[in-house]
Amino acid sequence: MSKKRFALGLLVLVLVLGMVSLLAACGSDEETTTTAGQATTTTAGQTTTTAAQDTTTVAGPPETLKIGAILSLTDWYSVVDAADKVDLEYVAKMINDDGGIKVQGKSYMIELVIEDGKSSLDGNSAAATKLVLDDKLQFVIGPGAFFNLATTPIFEQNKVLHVANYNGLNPAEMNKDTPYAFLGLDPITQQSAALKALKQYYPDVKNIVMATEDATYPAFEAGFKDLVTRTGLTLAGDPVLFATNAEDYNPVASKIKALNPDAVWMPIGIPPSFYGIVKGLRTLGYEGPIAFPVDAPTTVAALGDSATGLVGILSKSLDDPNLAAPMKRLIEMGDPKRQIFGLAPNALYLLKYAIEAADSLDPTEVAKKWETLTSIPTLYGDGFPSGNALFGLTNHAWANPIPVCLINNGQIEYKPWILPDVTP
Amino acid sequence: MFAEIQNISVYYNKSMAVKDVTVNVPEAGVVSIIGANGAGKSTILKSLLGLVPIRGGDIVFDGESISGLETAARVKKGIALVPEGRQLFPYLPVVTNLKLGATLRRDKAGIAESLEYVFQLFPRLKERLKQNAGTLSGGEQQMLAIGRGLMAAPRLLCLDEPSVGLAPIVVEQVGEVIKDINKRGISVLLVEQNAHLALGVCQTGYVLEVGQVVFSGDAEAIRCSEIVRKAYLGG
Amino acid sequence: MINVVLLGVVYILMGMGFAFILNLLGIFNLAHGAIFMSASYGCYLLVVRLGLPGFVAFPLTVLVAAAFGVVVERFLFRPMKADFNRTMMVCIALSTVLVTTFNRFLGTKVLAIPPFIEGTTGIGPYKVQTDRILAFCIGVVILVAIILFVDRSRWGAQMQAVTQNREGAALQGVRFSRVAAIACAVGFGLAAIAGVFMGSLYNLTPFMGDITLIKVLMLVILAGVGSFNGIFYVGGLLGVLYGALPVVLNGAVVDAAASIMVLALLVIRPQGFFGHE
Repeated sequence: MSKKRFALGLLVLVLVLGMVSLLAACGSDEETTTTAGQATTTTAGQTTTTAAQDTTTVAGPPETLKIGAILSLTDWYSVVDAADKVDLEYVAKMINDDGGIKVQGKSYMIELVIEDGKSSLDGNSAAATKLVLDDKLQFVIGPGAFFNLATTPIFEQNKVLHVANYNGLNPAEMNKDTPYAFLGLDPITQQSAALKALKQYYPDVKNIVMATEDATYPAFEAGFKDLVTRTGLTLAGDPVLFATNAEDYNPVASKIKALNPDAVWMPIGIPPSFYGIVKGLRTLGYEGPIAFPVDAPTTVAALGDSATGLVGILSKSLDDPNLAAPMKRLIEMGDPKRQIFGLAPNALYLLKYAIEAADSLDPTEVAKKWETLTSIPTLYGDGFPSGNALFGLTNHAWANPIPVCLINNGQIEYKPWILPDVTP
Repeated sequence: MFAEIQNISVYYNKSMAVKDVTVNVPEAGVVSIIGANGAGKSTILKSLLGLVPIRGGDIVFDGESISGLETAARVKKGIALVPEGRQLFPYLPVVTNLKLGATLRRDKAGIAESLEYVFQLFPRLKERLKQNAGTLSGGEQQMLAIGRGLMAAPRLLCLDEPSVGLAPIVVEQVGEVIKDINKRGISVLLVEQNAHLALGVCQTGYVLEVGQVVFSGDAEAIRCSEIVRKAYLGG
Repeated sequence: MINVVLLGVVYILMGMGFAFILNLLGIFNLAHGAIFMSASYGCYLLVVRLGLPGFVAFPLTVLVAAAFGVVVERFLFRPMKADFNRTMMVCIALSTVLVTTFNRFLGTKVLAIPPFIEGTTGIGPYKVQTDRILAFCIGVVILVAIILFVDRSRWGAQMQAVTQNREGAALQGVRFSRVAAIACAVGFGLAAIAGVFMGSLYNLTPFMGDITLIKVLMLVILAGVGSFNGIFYVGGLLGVLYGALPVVLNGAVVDAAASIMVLALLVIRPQGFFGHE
């Protein structure tokens, strides 16, 4: 009897521990919200007590501006978003440290309200509903990828200005009838940089294979094919599509090799797929260059011997001499070896500039002003609008210089950043 | 007494299966319990092996109470049960079935000796050593079940309805086997519906009706008793 | 080719481990994928963070996983008394806790266990990475050892006895709790071996277990519950299916096509290929 009770007790203990770790994992967003809040109130307190007598340029103690963010912190897309969240918080802190967002002579400290989109359309739509209806926020960062399908209608109906990290090029995510939708990074320009780099560093490359993730491919197909032509390359055979949840990418690799291309270009996917395919190709003895978005140090660690002949875009590292100043500052805020996707944080950086340019906290005003801007500083240097015709919106989607590196024999060589071609 | 089942009661959930039953087995004796289907005969054997919990009463084996022991410990003390429906391992060969009977034994020579004895009793098993138990005929399966029970080198062998589903000539063989086993000094507790078989081999017997002992005595007394003659021996 | 074979070996190892627990305890161990993933990460941590050589880290991971199996059997499975709903919940909880933990602490980067042996070996005209050949050999040795264990050893016979007739086995003095503990240890250990293979040959993500678990469920059902031989044949078949289909088909269509084939096979033989009933 006592034995049974002991076992039961232990079970309860294990379950409780499990719950705690779960909560720690899921609830960390709330945690950070409160710390950010606390940070702002303590600095506010200090300024009022110690510097109250000083004449300050900004009148009164700073107020807070709550900005929502939707990131998929659990399930498959958390591979990207959980890392992005860290940097989003750093950028919020960066802006706050510099005195917050300044509107009409007042300073507003950013307080992030982060919701988990759970890597699903349902989860993202629930998160958007909460931010809009419960928290009554007027500015939201995110979500990323095709999850905007679920959130755009909610934001538009409630006139909430939303800046997607990155999207899936589906017209339902952003079109001429979505005046509140902005996009931090036009995904096509990012790829333009990959192809330009490929051409620049491997001038013999003519014929390439496009290998990409299958779920998003239909939306990107036209844009990507057009991009290949614009860059002056040709496609060898049909695109090779893969599922992001495969275990073994060797069959995909052998399929690519069978097409015998000069180079391989992998625009969309997640790191496990990229690494699996590269490993497979190198094992099969394929020696041509392979271009894809990387975090260079992680790529080298994960690929070992196979990390050669790679053209990487989007890697952010302190070792990169071409690093833009805000990005350098962001990297130095935390563990410099962490993987930085820099999507949501860049969206926040753009939003801050637009709010200050409009000198208003009204999302409609901000959106109107944003449409008149032709250059915005980003974490990556000066940003520029792209894809006006594609989205049917003027100056809503933005692009920026793209970091480029070459990886050979496990060694990373950072190259000058590439200014991508503007998407029509 | 060698094995004593003292005033035990067994309930399945809330329904009574056996009430206040006492059965004694003397050393090197053959005792049978006869009774109709559902009278609680199998329940007594299961409680003896610890497969069902008893409520009240006690079970004493070789002078020690074993009511608190788990099944494996009771087997180790020397009680083996050849269960109703044989409960063989159908997808394992005959030889493995037999060896599993000796799970708790470590004396290699003794195990070999037991195996020899089983083959002597049932030469048919020796011919079918590599065959899966599930492919044997009903009679062969019963032989295997008994053989497996003997492999534990029991001091008390319990048999639950060994005659069910067997041809009369095979039933007769089973009777002979029981006598042979008993000759080697092993006590036997036999539970049977087939009163002819049971009374043919036992020294003492118990008659069970609806979970209670209604008559007990030596074989001759039972054979002559009114109740048994009417109910089990066809007048 | 060696990829197909290796994937098959991983599936078979996983399937065997799963079948051990299912057959003996009657538990659908939905945490099997999480154990597989955890072992992979565990081995990664031992090799990369603690700097242990592969030939130490690998057995150590497997032993820890086996010990964990015994603990889980004793404190999580046994109190649930093989009640389907309750054990299901326990497995899901266990799985979620493990996946979340690894996702939280290590999940943001894709990792790989460094190869135990560098270089390639030529087989005829083909060059194959030596670590793959090594993994394949180890896998085959382990599979043979498991077969011998099940077929020849006392414990193996007892396990089969319990699977085929639990009460009959108890009557021979087989202690169920001990056999169950061994089954869990072997089951978790096999999952760990598969996990380390996967982690050293492919990549680590916290969700790798979920993906493989689905294939293992397919495998066990297709092989027929209660059959160890079936797992060999069907594991090989699934390896070929998942190794070869992506060559002719694109992306997620592969999963759908493989599922349809499995479904078709089940319609033809509902009891699985090698099942007893």
